[in-house]
Parts: sequence; C-alpha cells; structure tokens
Amino acid sequence: MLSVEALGKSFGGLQAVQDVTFSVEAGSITAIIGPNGAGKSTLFNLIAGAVRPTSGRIRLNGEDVTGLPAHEMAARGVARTFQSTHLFQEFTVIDNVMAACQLRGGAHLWDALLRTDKLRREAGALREQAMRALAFVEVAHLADRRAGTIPQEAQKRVALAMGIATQPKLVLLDEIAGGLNPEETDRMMALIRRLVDHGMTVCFVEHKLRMVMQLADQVVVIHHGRTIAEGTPAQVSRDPAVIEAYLGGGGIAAGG
Amino acid sequence: MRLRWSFRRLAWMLALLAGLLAPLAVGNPYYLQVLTLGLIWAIGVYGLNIVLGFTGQLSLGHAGFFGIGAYTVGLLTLRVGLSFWVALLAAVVLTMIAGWLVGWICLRTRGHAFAIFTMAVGVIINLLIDKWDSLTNGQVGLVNIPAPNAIGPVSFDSAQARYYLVLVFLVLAAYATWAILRSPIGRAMHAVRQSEELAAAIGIPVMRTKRLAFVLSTVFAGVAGALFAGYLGYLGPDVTGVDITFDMLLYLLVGGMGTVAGPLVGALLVGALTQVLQAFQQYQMLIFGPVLVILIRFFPGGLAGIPAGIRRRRERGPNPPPLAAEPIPAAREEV
Repeated sequence: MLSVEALGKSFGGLQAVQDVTFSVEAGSITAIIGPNGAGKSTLFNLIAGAVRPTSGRIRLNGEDVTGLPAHEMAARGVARTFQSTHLFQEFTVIDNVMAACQLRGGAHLWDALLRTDKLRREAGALREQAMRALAFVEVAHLADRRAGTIPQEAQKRVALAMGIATQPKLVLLDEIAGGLNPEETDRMMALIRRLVDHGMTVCFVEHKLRMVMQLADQVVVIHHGRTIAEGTPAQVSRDPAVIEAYLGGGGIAAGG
Repeated sequence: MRLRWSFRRLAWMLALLAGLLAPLAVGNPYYLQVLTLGLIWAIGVYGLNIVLGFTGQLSLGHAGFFGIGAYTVGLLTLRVGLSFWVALLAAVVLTMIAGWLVGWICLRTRGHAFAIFTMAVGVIINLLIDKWDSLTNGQVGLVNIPAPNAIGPVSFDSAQARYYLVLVFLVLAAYATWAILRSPIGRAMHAVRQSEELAAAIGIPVMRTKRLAFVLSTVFAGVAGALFAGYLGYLGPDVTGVDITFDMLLYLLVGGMGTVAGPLVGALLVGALTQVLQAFQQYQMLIFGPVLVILIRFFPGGLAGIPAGIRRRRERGPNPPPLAAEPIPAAREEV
C-alpha cells in the first residue's frame, strides 16, 4: 500500500536521507531500524508530510503523494506518533483525542456561531468516537485528566489513540516503546498487533530488538540515509551489511 | 461541575445586568463616555484574543485594522453620505479582505518575525492614514461623523442610546468568543497554539486555522473601529498607532488570554485604572509597569484565568490513578 522510491532529503549540505526504497504490504508490520542518526525519524517525517523530500517518490495505494503537507497525509489515512511523546499538554485527554477525531467531521464556523444542530450532533459523535479510541488503547478512565498529568505509558497510549482517531490506514510509530519497561513494552506490542487485527498497516521505528524480532513481518535497515537491507527479521539479522553497520564498519570490524 | 457552571452563568447574568443599568447609574456624561470607549476597546481586544489567546499568534497590527474600520465608516458616512449601517457592513467586508490579504502573507512567518511583520503592517496603515491628506484629512482627521441612523423608532442621537448599541456588539463579541471556544474550530485553534507539528499530524490544516483566526481578529477590530467612529463622531490617525495596539495587548494580558471574560475585564479594569492614575500623568507607567510585572508573574493566565489556575493546581495535587507503575529508569530496556 505504501511504496517509497529512492527518497532523499537534504538539509542544506547535510544529506539526512539519500536513497531509501522499500514498500509496505497492506495489513503488515514493518520495522525500520538503523543506528542513531541513520535518518529514521526524517524518513517518517517525509512519509507523514511534515517535511518535503528533495528527491524520490512516495506512493500511497498507487497515488503519488510526494510533498503533500501533513494534514493532507492525515486526511489520506496516514497517522503518526512522535519520538518524544507529544500531546496537547493543556488539553484534557479526551480533548486531545477529539481534536484528532475532528479530521472526519464537517462543522464550520457558522455552525459554531449559530450553534446549529449539526454542531451538537457532531460534538456528541466526536466524544463518542474519542471515547472508543481511548477504550481501544485502554485509557478511557483517564479521559477527563489533563494530558500533562498522566503517567508516561498512558501518554504514549493517548498519542496512539490520537492516531487511531484519525481513522488511518497506515500508522507510523516513532519509538512508541521508548522509555517503557519490559512489561509495558509487552503491552504495547499486544496493542500494535490489535491495530493490525483492525485492518491497519503499521510501520515502526524502534531500538528494542526484541520488539523488532517478535513483531515485524518485514524489517528495513537504514544506514547513513540509505536502505542497506530489507527482509524478514531472521534474514536481516544474518545480513553481513547489517552486522557491519551495527558493530562498526571499516578498520575496527576488520581488525577485531 | 453543575454548580460551577451555574456560578459562571450567574456571574455573566450579573455583568449583563450591570451593563444594562450602568447608564442610569452613571450620571456624569464623561464617565459614560469612558465606559463606552472601554466597551469598544473590549470588542477590539476580543479580536486580539482569538488570534493571540486562542491561536498563539502575536499580531501587532491590530490598531491598523481598527483604523481601517473606523475610517471606512467615517469616510463613507461623511463623504459618500451612506447610512451608518451600510458603512458598518462595508467596514466588516473591508477589514475581512485586508485581514485575509495581510494574513496570507504574514502567516508565512512565525514567532517574533510574525510579530514584527504585523507591527510593520500596522505602521504602514498608520502612515497611509496620516499622510493621505486628500482621502483622510491627515492629521486634522475627520469631524462631524454622523451618529448611527435611527432604526425605526430607536434613535442613536443620545450618548445613552449609543452606549446600548455598543453593548449589543460587545455581547455579540463575547458570545462569538464563547461559541468558537467551545467548538471544534476553537479546539483546532488551541491545538495550533500548543503544537503546530502535532496539530498538522492529526489532520488540522494549520495554515487555514491561523488565517481564519487572523481574519476573525481583524473583523472584530474593524467592528470596534466602526463603532468608535459612529460613537465619538470624530477621528484622527492616532487611533491606528502602535501604542493603541499595545494598549489592547495590555488589556488582554491583564484580563486573561484565551478566556471569554478576559478582554472585557482587562479593558474595563485597565481603563478604570488609567482614569484613576490620570492625576499622575507621565508617571502613570511607573505604577503600571510593576503592577503588570507582578500580575504576569503570579497570574500568567490574567485575572480571568485565576479560577482555571486554581483548578489546575488542585488537579496536580493528589496522586494520579496509575495505569501501571511509572517506569523505573533502571528497568528500561535498551539495545
């Protein structure tokens, strides 16, 4: 459903991503891994439309979506979470998720000013949808708490609920399990599997190898802004290029 | 929850009652004028509240749009002989167009650049009005602007009647603020203020939201300016000055950004304080400055933000019902 072809992005002289090519099957889980600074987060920013690529193509279900802005990508069914947990801190949890639900709503300024029936109906529907998304990630009991005051794992789940609330086809998770302990990570993995059970396609960036090995159908390895390997977890973990990238290439590896 | 709601409703009802009775209680025509002008400024500040308080964009060209509204009414009623109401409509349309065009350009910048850019726009509008003698009468300004035309039996020749006219628009401005705040659009604006990146990621069109807020703010300023011209009957280029923008900013900061009551509370309170301090003339600011610093330090949400601040502090107090234990740093799993 997603295909990325020779994607590149340079910031001034720095080539953050230079030649990334891979594709993602609908209903699959793809892990994107690579050493720090390999360009993983930039790649997500490119796919989600937060940053415009300088070269290459992105196709979503056959449609060329290269360079579309982030809110257009969200409208086309691409949801993403950020590496550092990112919520609207001043909002309550439910307001955070309702803000995401609004994408599929249709109330305009006149509806707001005249407080039309449409607005009332939509407000009710938004709340219901948001509660469903919160229930899906099992934090419905925190709905009325201010987002900045809930525990970290719950914040990550709310961030995920916001993604789900946009009714996405493709979900991009940038280190969703970062900073979580092993039990919390297990729960997060179960949750990601449930996303797929509900018809979503998942791409995630992660440093936790256990999560990559257990969860991913496909692994894409990026190093210095290029794809250096693509395959099942087992294939990739035996790939000499991958081993070299992780253990340090050149003289050190040869010498050691 | 129910209780707090009715308290708030009661406070608004009392404020409205006070507003309706004020001309009867205020015998002195000078004080009535101060009060009326306070309400007119409050309408302008409601505009600033939407662009700055809701959406987080510090627009410093606000007095310029106030001036466009004021001069549109002044010139159309005086030179063309149009009715005040037609001129008011024209002022709304014109500030809307001006706001859209300026917003279209200015909103490409962010933060300080946006503030400086909009301030420059304000200065340009001020200069245009000041120097374009043949159109605006320059420094001399416009005098004998007719009072708003009578609507049926209701005439606006008396200061009291014009006070009530302004009050109607103030209520509309406060209502619009409240309605927007509670709507998906208000939520989108607040989301943009907190994080443009996250807002875009969940599908909020950031640029369109900011532009809507900007245009709404200029329309509020334009209406306030139009009422100003119709109320006072005279007009000079100084109403478009940058210091007027900063006055409005001061009202908003004191009253409370992003709240429904803030603009009104700020405009009236600071307006009253200015009157009281008038005896001190140029030393006014020596008193204003420290008061503002203390206020911002201890009540960053302004006066109208105090209840919300208390509520938030109370929320932070007791232990949260945890989903699971907080992650212990030592137990983090990294590879």
